[in-house]
Amino acid sequence: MSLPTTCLPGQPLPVSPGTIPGPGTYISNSEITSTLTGLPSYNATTKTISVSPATTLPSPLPTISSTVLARVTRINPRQATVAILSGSDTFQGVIRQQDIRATEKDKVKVFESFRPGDVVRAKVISLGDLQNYYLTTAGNSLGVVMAVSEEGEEMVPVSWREMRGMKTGKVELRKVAKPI
Amino acid sequence: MALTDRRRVNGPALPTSIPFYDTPAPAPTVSRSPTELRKIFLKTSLTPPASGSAFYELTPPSTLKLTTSVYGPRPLPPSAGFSPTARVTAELKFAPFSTRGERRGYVRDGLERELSLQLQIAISGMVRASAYPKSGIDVFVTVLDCEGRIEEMIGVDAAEGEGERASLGAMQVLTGAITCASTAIADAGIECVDLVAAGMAALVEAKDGKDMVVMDPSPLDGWQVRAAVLVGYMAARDEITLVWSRGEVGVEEFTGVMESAVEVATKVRGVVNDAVRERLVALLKARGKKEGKKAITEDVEMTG
Repeated sequence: MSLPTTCLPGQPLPVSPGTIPGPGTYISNSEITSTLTGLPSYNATTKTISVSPATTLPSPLPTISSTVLARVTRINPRQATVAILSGSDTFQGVIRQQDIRATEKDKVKVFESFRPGDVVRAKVISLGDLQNYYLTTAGNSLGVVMAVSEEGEEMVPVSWREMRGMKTGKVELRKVAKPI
Repeated sequence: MALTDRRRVNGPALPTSIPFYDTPAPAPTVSRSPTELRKIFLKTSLTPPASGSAFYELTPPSTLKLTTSVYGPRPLPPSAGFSPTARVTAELKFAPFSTRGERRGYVRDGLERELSLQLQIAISGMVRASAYPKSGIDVFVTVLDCEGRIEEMIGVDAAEGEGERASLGAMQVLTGAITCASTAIADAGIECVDLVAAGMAALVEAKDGKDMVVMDPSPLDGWQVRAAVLVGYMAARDEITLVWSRGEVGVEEFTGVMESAVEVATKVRGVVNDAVRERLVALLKARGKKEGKKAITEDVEMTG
């Protein structure tokens, strides 16, 4: 089995039996076929053939279980609406009250977790409805990564639920992501 | 009349045109053989803000020139409604200066709407829409220069033969638009099941009065066109995405003309492949991969 150096959409890829089609490929007439202009590669351990594209899309789409960065645009007692940052486009998403943290979900208050303008690291749980992707921040590594206080001062995390102003030392409540 | 200045020589009340003596255009002559295709110039990635783009031009004496830019996949507007797959939209626009003689208006007219719809049908089958839920892929084709006459597409009031030839202009624009749009979509890195290339063939009346099939007919060739067929064809899947025919033709003849159109599309696909691969070659060069250079020649000779 020798792979071509490059491939184009619609080009069948020579594979040995039992190979799994990976990203950038699909099965057409029981043949694994490329869907992208790019470089085919074969992973022997997973037995997967995939095509890496020559050009990446300017704004990749959020997919389920992908981790995204989003800016909080507005909040209400039930949910926080966010704009998922992806290249040149922004996709709208919501973080519902019950998805903010994993424990004591009923006691979560949205305004004690996020404020408009915060940048949040979140995970996509559903492609959602017409308008929104559904996101969650349940998890230690997920939550607010950047925030400014009511006075417009940058804040640093001090605990999983508190952030403190860098000069004034004023403490505000947030669902904070564990710094990496 | 009382207010007219009668003491001086006044200019004419209405604008007049300068007398312009033009030699009548020479009668169109057929210079190509019926199976010879015109060469195509096709280049990708010329519109920086777009996800993907392409420029299409036929070599002289043909004057057709098109650009395509592809935007997306991007979020659908709320008015569009929910779609679990990608929604491909296509819009074809004639530039005001694209037609000979008269300038075209900016407002979208019936012909543009018709061609946009046909283009959308031809290319939406090639995109792997399931890979892009809730998103829109927008294709914009701008016709910079046409060939022949576009207006009398249907040829209602045109003289015999002339009407069908005039419709070739519009069909040729669509042929170029499909090929160019498909190249731009591939250039954007959008997942496609295959690439569409368009081809056209016509049934013409030869000098001896018999009918014959001409591949890639041009409105400038001066054929007595009886019918013309355009196909959008995916060569690797052997699948036709669009058939558009004009004129009167019998069933057996139609099959023959369509097969010729498919043959043209298959050859055009080679040009599309080369144009799309060009960017890949540039990428490989940038990465400094030696095996890439070995496999592909650096310059691609594009032949129709």
